[in-house]
Amino acid sequence: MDISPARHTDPKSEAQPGSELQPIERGYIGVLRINTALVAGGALLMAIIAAIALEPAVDARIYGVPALVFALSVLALTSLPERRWQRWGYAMRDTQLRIVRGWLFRTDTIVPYNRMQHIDIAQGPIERLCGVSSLVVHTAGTHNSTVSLPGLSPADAAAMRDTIRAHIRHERV
Amino acid sequence: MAVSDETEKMMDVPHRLDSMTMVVRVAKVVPQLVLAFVAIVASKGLTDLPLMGLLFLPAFILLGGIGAALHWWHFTYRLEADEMRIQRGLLSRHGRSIPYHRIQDVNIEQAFLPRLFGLAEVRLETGSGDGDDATLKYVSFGEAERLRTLLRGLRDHAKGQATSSILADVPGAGGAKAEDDAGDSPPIFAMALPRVLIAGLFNFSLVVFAVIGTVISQLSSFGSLWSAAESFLFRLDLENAIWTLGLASGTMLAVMASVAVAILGLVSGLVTTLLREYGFRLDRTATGFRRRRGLLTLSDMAMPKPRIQAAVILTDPLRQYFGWYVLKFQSLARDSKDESDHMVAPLADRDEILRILAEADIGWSADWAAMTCVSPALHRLSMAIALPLLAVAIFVSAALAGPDFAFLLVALPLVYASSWLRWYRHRYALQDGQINVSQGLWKKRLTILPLAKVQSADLHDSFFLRRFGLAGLRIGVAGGAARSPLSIGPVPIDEARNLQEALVRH
Repeated sequence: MDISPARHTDPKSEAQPGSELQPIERGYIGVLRINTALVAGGALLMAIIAAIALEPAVDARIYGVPALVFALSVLALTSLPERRWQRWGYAMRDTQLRIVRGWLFRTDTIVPYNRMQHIDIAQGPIERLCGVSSLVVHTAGTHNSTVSLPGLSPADAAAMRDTIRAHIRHERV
Repeated sequence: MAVSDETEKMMDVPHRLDSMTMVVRVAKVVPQLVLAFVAIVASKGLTDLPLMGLLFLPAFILLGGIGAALHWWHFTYRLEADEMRIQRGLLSRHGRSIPYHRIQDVNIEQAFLPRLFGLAEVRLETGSGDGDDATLKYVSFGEAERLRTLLRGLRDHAKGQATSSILADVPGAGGAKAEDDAGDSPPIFAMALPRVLIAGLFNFSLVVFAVIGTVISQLSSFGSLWSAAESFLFRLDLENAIWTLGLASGTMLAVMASVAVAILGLVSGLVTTLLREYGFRLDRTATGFRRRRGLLTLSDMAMPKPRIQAAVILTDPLRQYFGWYVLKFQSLARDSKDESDHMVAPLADRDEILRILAEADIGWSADWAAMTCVSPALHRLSMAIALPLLAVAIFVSAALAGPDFAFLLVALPLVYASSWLRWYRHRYALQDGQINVSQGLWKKRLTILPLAKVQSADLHDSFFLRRFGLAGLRIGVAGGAARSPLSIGPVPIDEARNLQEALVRH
């Protein structure tokens, strides 16, 4: 895999120098930002509508609620997406794929290649806008029946899929 | 491929289900109709609507019969060259085609009523096993066996595993027969009636508590039951007896109720177990196992060895005292609507279990005492938080509502004991190419998973656990229950990493 290992120096990130984990594409930050903006925009709209509707009943201080929502949204949109991006890391080992995600609740998943039933590459409209795609791996287990790795450039995702396919043996589960 | 005349007649021709299916379908509905009829008569009284009441029952049976006939007419199945096609429905036509190589297995089940008419249900299991299978309800038993042999042969042929002529004259030459051919060899495991009854006794059913609850809620109060009993006894001129009984009425009623509940629980557990596991018989076939069981509903199921993922051995202190265990297999398909794990031995001793496991190439060698414990940190911490909170809550309610509440303090040692026991019972051991995980409070559960069947391994922690240097593991198993995956933890993080690596390297 030819991704230049741009390791982070932030101790909270997954891809540390010296670890096998690689960071995902920075384009994913854009995806996170847009998703958060959509959710925040919806919440703000609802808060404003509710405030306008309730204002005759309560006094003008009700507008503090949309203001609060706005403040939280700004906070969520500026620093949070980059932090969340840092929490992702992955490694393509010889015989397994390792995906690490999360910080508050961190999960480190290892799936051996010969346990993968099939592999998808998915790209939603927002992901396409930011130039990233996701690799979705299906296993036969009921837990972790699908494991997805977002934030890969389409070329990298395709290369990974081909590498994995070369590893997969036909094995009756 | 050589095709016999008989089998050629079966292929490429649309078949209908057996015509007796209509009778069975109507017969199934009759008890409900009768009950509804009785309910209406009871509420209205027979004298009010004589004519309508008399016509009600036959009219509905006729409607049911017409519906069943229409359904029967529009249900056809065809065995084509590469797939089986099933078409059904009159208002919305529904066609399903199942390629032969997608068929995992074909099972036959005979419920009580169909069996009376010589019918059976044929169930095709496809890969996912999530209930989206094709079933033929009902065909004659002979046809069911023919179909099973034929479909297995077609499946093997489609998967390229057949010997030269799979549809030869000799019924089921080759792989198809091997699956249900137990030969004359004795079964690997069988349960005679006494064993089934003992198993039933151990299956004390807690469903009875739900039943009791509904019954109680129907009565206006317990008092009404007691006063009814009282008036009855009064009529027998036992005034003095009633008076003395009245003093002890509180405890008497409680004792009577408990005894009744216990008896009902035992009986219901016994009856359900008897119906399900009567004549339990496990045979070794060329491809795996074959299990037959059932009293009213005869079930005949094949379990190919490659589909067995893990073995689960269950017991509890009561069973273990007598040396009994329960064995289940986690497999790719679901057992029935009720169980996701396949019951392999409803009640067996250690030697019998070892014999069955040997046939499945799974070993039961882990010494429970030697298995590694998980970290008690989480248990200790949760108790350190929960117990004071509970104590405070109890004191507050005692102060507000009355000193009687103080007796709830007895719950505190129970809470601690159950948390400690849950920690103590949760152990794991990685040996002989298998991962053994034990867990449970009262019901002890030991899962034995060969490393070759590990689908994925998750190491998970939280901001919280990391402070203690702990992490947990979750293992992906094919066919396991999704809501409670096989998990180990929490353990020190280095131990967790080593275990995770060991699990995926095989």
